[in-house]
Amino acid sequence: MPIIVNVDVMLARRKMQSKELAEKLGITQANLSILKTGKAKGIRFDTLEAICHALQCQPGDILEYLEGSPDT
Amino acid sequence: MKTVRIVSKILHVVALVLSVLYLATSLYSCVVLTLKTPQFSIIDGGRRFKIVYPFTDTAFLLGENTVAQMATMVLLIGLYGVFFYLISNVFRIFSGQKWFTEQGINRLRWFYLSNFTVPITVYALFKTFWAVESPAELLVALHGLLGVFTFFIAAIFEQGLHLQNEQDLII
Repeated sequence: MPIIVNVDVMLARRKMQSKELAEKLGITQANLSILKTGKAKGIRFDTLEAICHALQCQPGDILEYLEGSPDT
Repeated sequence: MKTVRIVSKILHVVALVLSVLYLATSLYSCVVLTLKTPQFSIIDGGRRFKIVYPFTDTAFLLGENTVAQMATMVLLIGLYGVFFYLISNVFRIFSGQKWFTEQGINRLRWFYLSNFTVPITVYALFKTFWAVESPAELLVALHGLLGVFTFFIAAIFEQGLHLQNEQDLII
């Protein structure tokens, strides 16, 4: 997948735990784990908005396009 | 959706009760015919047989006094017991919160496979040994048609399960 999810990085920067973020987003830890590990097929705008709000960041801080990946 | 759930739950219970009744009747008839218990008697000068309800004199199964007729009756009642059990499983799918599941697809698969194979096999078996009454072909065709419909419903469910799994990965 050429799109990299950097939620882990932002969590570390904000010194926040996954459990806390999951609670703030209103999703399960299992679903957050799917998102963090890049197994998710997509992300809803409202989820992205909630992540940006909780982590005080921009969508670009969460998602990254990596050129040269096998899927591109 | 709520109406579908209520209707399917009712149909599930009705089909399950019918299944138990049919299977119990088949087992009871089998025991009575095999052991020739007092519930079994020959009537009409030996031409017909009669089986009465337990502890009563009321007849519930009457037929020609031949092994073929007895076997046919017991087998058909038993098979319809199985049919009602399988259809109750199909109704059960629609009473659940989640319809598209592996278990649901398996239930549909059992139902359409049995409708495709059992009636035609039993019909062929009976026709080989004994004369089969005319509505039998119609029943085989109707079960086949039911099998075809269920086959397509199972295909829809497989597609639905796939889409549902994809949807679960959109966070």
